[in-house]
Amino acid sequence: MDFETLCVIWFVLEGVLLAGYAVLDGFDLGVGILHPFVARSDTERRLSMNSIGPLWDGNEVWLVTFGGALFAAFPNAYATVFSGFYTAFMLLLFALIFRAVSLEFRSKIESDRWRRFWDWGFFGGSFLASLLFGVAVGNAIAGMPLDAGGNVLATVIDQLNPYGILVGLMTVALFALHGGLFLYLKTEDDFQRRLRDWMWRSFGLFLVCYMLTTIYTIALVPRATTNFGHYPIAALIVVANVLAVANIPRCLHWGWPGKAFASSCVLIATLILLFGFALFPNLVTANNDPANSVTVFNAASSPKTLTIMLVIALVGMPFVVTYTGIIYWTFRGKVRLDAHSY
Amino acid sequence: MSIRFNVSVPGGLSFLIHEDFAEPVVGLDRFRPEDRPPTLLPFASYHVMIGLGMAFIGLTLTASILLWRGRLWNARWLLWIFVFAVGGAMAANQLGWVAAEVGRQPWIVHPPVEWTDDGDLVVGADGVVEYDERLGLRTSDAVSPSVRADQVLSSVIGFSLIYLLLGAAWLFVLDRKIRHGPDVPEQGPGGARDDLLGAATVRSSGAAGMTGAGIDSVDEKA
Repeated sequence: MDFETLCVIWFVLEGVLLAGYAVLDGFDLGVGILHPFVARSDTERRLSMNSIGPLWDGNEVWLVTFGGALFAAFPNAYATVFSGFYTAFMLLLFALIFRAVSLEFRSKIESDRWRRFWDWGFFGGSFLASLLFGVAVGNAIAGMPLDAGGNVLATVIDQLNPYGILVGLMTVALFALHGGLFLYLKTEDDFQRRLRDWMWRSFGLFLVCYMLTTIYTIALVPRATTNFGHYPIAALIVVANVLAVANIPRCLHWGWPGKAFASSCVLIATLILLFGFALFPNLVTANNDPANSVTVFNAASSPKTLTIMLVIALVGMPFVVTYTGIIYWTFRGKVRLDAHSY
Repeated sequence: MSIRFNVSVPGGLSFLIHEDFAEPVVGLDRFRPEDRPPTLLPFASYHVMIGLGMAFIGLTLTASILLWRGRLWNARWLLWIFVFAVGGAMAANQLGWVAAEVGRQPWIVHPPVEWTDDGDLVVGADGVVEYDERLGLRTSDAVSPSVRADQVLSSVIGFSLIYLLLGAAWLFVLDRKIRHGPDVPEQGPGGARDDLLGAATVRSSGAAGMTGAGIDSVDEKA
């Protein structure tokens, strides 16, 4: 296989990993964002945490795999991104650590103050992680100033620009919606009924951010739309994306939470697809001088590395799909509490 | 440098490296001073780590003998040592990292060295190894120009704070758990067995999940 094909294959595989991560971890981050607002009693809060209890850490593996594959397949892009987003990624790490620990610690001690502290830790970690993912994606779309060696010439303050924050808020709203739908499928009675309002609220907030982001991107980030001029067929992704957005209120209205959740999965996956399509062939866009951009071709490892990784991916993927399937099947249905729950 | 209080195994390092007790081991004197790692820190951390490991083996052997004699549960002094031994295990873990990371300086990627046919290191005219710098990467060259020192410092401080907080919370929870003591074990199908295998059977049957939700916590039919 020639070098350029390998590079493109690995770009696509990175997209698959990112989409898998966003769809899967998206709902458990969303559960964390809604947690202190929708779950009122202690039992409800335990239900909310246990709905994602057996699933969230498996979902985060997708992020680890995404980072690991980026390091091995596109080391130059990894260096640019991880150094350039150093402060943001440290905050992200703190958020993810705090969130995980909040889940584990919260129900270990029967004290209101203790539990309330970790409830808000769970919320704060989930909210901050979602926001930062969005900010990172926003900056990737808009591009950052890079020098000829691929070093980012922007600080975390520059990265918290209006566009980055807008995409960040959109991500928070989208994950809250996605998590609300998941929680709806996992709960019953009063708790479930109360989720209804929050799903509509998150959808409303998402819709506002979604439209603002679309307008902002088309008007002010010309590079994001050039690929669509070259390949008009990609308009189909846009159509699928818009249909997925439109299907969610329809399903909510008719009371089809399963279909609404499927739509939010498609919505997230198509957003990642659009992101990848807008980015290609860049991994990190230089907005000061296009020649400094880090692309799939100038950032890739040797063909030998990419080939070996491809073999590993082809062997490993069926296992991942199988164990993920088994876990989700084992923990299907409504969430129940027992002595060993969170 | 002279070594005092040494437990020497003649030819031991030669055997570990070359599987031959007579083969000479290449020393740091064959490398330029600027190509050598600092020696005190890796030496000390490595030896403390090994010392801790040996101490753990000794503790375990002592406990095994006392258990065999039926006196372990009354040997409070030993049980108290075990309470704090977890700190030693963590220290050993960190010290191993220190030995590995400091010991590989000044390189992030060590350039290859050449060997003669009879297993000797190829050295230059002045008796030390001549590296091809293009094939390696020095730590000082590997630092990213887009990460500033204060960013690294603040992340180190942040990590320290978060780990201190989590460590304190962990100790608090652990202390409560220990004071609470174990629950009365559930009776298995054939009656609970009071030995290790019995305990393992109860655990693997799904009666007790490791991280929370047991198998029956989410059951459609329930």
